[in-house]
Order: sequence, then structure tokens, then C-alpha cells
Amino acid sequence: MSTGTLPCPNCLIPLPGNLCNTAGPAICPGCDKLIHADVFPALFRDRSAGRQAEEILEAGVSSCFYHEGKKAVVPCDGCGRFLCALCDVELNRQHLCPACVDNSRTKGTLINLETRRTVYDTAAMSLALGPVVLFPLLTLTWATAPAAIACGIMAFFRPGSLVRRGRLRATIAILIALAQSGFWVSAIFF
Amino acid sequence: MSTPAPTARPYKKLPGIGAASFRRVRLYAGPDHFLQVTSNGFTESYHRFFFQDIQAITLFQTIEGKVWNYLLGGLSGFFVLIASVAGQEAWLPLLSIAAFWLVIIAINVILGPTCGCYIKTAVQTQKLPGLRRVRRARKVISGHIRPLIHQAQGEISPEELNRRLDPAAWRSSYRGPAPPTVGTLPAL
Repeated sequence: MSTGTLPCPNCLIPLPGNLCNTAGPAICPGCDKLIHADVFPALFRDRSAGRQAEEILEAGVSSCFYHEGKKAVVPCDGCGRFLCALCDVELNRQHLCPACVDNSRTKGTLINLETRRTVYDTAAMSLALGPVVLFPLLTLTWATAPAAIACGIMAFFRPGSLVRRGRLRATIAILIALAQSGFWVSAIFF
Repeated sequence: MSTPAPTARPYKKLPGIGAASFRRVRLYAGPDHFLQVTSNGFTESYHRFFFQDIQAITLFQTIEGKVWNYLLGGLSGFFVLIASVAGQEAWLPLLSIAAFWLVIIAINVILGPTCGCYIKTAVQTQKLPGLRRVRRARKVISGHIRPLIHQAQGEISPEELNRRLDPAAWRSSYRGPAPPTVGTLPAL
């Protein structure tokens, strides 16, 4: 472990150790603000050097699929190809080759690589309720209701939020949008 | 080429909800990381903070709550003032509006002082907009966040912390109050 610094989030002056991990609030010596600082061992962890792939020096040793002269250390959990230390990408407790990581990212099967997702059930609800909540936009429901129904149906076929389960939101949004559509149909034709 | 199967990740919602420019921000605890979800009603964006990588969590008290109290108090006082000079018919609705703002102030006072909460890793320092009140932030940090990080990283003793948290860096960057002046320079 090495030494490290923790700046005050307000004035960016490094905090002394006696002000961190205290039971109550402390006063920053730089800006006189009340602060709480929780420090963890990772602040003092040495940065480990990257692994290097070993050269094959004897016969009968498996080689990396991507680097013929390098010694294989692990098979890929996705495709089974042998990988050297350089090609081994450890993600989500799995050992993967760069091609599988790329493939998974494209298909969205490795959720740890996802940074953004379209949530169709929330979109359906926003479209169904947005114009109702923002009262002056109520007349826009003739356009938003079909869009809400489309998004609600999409929600049943596309992956939803990472943190929510179930399709209740999509179902409710579809029902609200159907009611709005029904109102417009009856207003126009009857 | 086959791709690895997606793994189910159960996330537990942590208390606290924040808003930043028409987006809702919530914090969730996963099996080996915290997930900050920012939702705008159509898409969600995700920030992951792995327990192993979190170096520090800091928060400082802000004056945001007090500023709102003063603003809303002024607004309320303005309506009371108008009510005092207005006629009998306008008296009740104007006082009702003033009372509404007073209720908002009371809720703001009950929720306690506001704060800015930051999570620091080796590569980023990220604000947690979901933790905006000192009391709630302390409760969430001590009750939910700290135990999970301690479980992953272990704990650090106060002596070790004092030794490791570089005191030289603090001394070199701290600019205390200016020394008192002993005299005044003669005017040129």
C-alpha cells in the first residue's frame, strides 16, 4: 500500500487523516464547511502492472488462438478458444476473448458493458401520462396515445430496465392509451 | 461463435432519489457494485461503482436548503403583505397561497440540511444526486454502502489512515488565514 490524498469535495484541499472516518461531522480546514469523509483501503492500493503474455519455450504447450507464439493460460468462456494472458478479458467473473466481448456488446448480452438502455415501458407511460399531467398538452393525446401503445407493445419484446422486472407498467400504459384512443374515436365518429 | 449467456442481476433499491435537469437519479446495490440509474422517461443510463474500486465517499453540507427557505419565505411574506392591503374577498385565497409556501418551508426544514455527496474511484469522482440531505445520506452510507465496501475491501484503522493519508500534501496545499499586517506601507 502507498500513501494517497483525499480532496475536500468543495474546496479541493487535501483532507488530513484525523478528519476522515469520524463518527460525527468535521470542519474542512480549507473552506470551513461541515464534511463527512469515509475513506476505504482502495485509496492506498498500489496500481498493479498489466499482465504480460509468456512466450512458448517448449513443445507440447498450447498456444493462444490470436498469438501463435504466446502461451495459452485460459479458454474463453464464450467460444472455447485458448487465450494468452494478453487476450484474456476478465468480466463479470468470466474469461472472454476480445471477439466475444465485442460480440456480446453488440448483442447486449453482457449487461456489465451496458451504459444506456431504452426502456419502452417507461416511455409508454411517459407518452400516456405526460400530456395528461401537463394539462395544456391534453389535446396531443390523439398523437401520443398510439405512440404509447406501440411503445407498450415493444416493451414485451425488448429487454426492459436493468433494475426493474415485470411488464405491469407497460400493461397499464397500454390500457390508459387505449382509453385515450377510445375517447378520440368516439369524439370524432359519434 | 457463441456468446456468453446473460446473467440475471438482482438490484436492491437504496433510499434517496434525486433530480438533475429533468432526469431522475436513483442508486441501487448489486452483488458486487452500486448502480446509479439516471432516467429521463425514455432511456436509462447506468454508472457502475464496484465495491472493490471505491476509494472514498465524501459529503459536505450546502446552503441550498437555506436559500430555498429564504426564497419561499420571501414569497410567502409577499402574499401576506398583499393580503393585508387587499380587500375582504382576496384575503382568504392570498393567505392560502402564503400558507402553501409555508408548508413547503416546513417540509424543507423537517428533511434537514442539504448536502453534496461524492463517490471517488481511481478514475473518477462522481456526484450522487440521490443523496441530497445530510441525514439521509449518512443513514444510507452507514447502513447500506459502507458495510458492502468493508466486506469487499476490509477496514482501515485510524492510525493506518493517519499514516497513509499523506500529511505533506495537506500542509503544502493548505493556505491558512493571511498573517496579520504589522504596519501600512507609505503612500507613494
